[in-house]
Amino acid sequence: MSESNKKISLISSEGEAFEVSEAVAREFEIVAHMLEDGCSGSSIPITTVDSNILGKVIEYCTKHVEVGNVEGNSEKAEKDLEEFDKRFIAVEMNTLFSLILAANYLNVKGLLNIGCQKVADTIKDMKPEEVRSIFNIENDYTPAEEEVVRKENEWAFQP
Amino acid sequence: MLEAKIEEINCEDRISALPEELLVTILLLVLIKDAVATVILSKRWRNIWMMLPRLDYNETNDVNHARDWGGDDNDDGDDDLGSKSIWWFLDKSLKLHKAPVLEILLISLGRRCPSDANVGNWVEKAVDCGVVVVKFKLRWSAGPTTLPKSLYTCETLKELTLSNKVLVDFPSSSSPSCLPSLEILQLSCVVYKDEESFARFLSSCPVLGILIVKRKKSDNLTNFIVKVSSLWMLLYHNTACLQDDTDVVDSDSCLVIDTPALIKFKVDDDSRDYWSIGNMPSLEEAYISVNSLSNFDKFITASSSILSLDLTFTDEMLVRCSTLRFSRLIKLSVDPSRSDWVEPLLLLLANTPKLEELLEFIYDLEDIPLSWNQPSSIPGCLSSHLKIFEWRYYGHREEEEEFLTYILANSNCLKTATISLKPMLDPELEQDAIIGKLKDIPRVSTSSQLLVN
Repeated sequence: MSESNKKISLISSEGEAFEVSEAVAREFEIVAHMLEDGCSGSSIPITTVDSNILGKVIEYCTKHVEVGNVEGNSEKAEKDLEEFDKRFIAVEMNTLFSLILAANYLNVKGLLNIGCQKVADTIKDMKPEEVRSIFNIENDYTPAEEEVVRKENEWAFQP
Repeated sequence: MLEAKIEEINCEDRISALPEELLVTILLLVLIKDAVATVILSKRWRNIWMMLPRLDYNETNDVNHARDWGGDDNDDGDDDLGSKSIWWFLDKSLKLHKAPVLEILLISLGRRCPSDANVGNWVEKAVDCGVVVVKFKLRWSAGPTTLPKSLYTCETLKELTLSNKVLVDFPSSSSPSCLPSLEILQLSCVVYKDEESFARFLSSCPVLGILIVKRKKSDNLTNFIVKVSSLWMLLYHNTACLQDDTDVVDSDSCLVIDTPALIKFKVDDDSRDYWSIGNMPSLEEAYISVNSLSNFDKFITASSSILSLDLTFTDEMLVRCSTLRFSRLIKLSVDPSRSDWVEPLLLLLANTPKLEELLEFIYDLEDIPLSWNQPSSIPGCLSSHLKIFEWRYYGHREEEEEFLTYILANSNCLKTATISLKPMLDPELEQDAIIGKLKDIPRVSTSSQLLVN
């Protein structure tokens, strides 16, 4: 069987199998390394990622492999891909963090980048109180401690 | 039950649960002020920003991170003098920063920076932390400052940029210094202590590959000497121009280039400095804009084995070029403004047998008269190599049309010809007629495409 037709099953934490082409599976650097290390099994367990998130990561990698294979008109293809990324990462917070963790674990660099960028864009230009409320960060400083930290870093909060 | 679970998930603090390395990755994507301000969020965040391996302090008011490290000849910026300098923020935050390794330190200080600020202090700290990249631009109102000597002995430093109010003062030979890892050096509108000190600097960088220089008037150097055997890319920009129009080089000051491994060379020299150019047998790509024929001649003699050439010509330079043979040249881009370029360019084509790509950029506002004579033999590159032809500012004069017709009729392998019209007085009317005419010119390469802009 030629490499491009070879199928690999990725098994989610719930035990659900996702059949993908080897090219898509190789977008997961962790899988690519396993294949290079001579792991010849056709099914690979991804125990820390659930079906919902694994499905999304596969969707992301499939799109990027598809676009990578098309020849010519790279400018338009790049723009399309940018649009796709933008839509893809416009998800609610909970999914966003699950995607970031999955991308980090599976080592899908492009997805990790757009995930982190999305979080960074949310933090940008926000007051600390706003950041806390968006991300449900509990302020565990006592008022006295917070005062000390604020004093110590006074210069950081001046306009 | 299900609703309760969703509620619980939505209240979860997922961001603080991320591993530290991911939080650092995220904070690297926001401005340094926003990153530092996260200390107040919760205890988890108290030390995160201090682990950032890249610190970027920028006093210019750019919204995005992209900024120009090239210096300005004009030291007066357009800064908002009303707001506070980022200097105090930099000074305080660097005191607290405690990542074991500070890889990248970018500092750009403007007119608001107090003139008693000890800016060198933090460069020294970075050196102690094993810094790899330092970019330092200073445009304060005080005079040029020297940087700590330890910068010039930094073993980890790979890339160094110094811009504007910096006095490049490489330590004297009594205290031997060396930058064993430095690969990229950019010096933009700085002032130099003297020629000796600069020569010591370059000779103390054994792996220097890229040198980018922008000189300003009165930078203390009469002769600019680049003698680096490892250098493969040199960008040299000297705008210290003289006003007169004579082709007289000033033999009192000179540019000496002795870089036998050079692959890429870009030079933009408006001065009248005398050039001395050593051989560049590996040169592949060059952009040359110079106004002295004798200097041009020296360069062209040193680089006849070149693959790609981008030239801004005067008439005489084009004529000079057309008498040399460029046996390996694949890509040629010429800007023969203010000259009768047709015949010399055809002669040049006859001496570039491997040419595949030709770009003409002719912005001739004065409509210098051109002369067209059908050449006696067809240049070899047309019949067997030329694939891409581009003409910007095509004016559709009779001689131009004849030249174009000749190219299209004889370029057997042509794939694309792109013609951009010169802006016309009566755009709508004339342009359509010209485009129609251009499309009717017969092309010997039937598979070729003609694009008109």
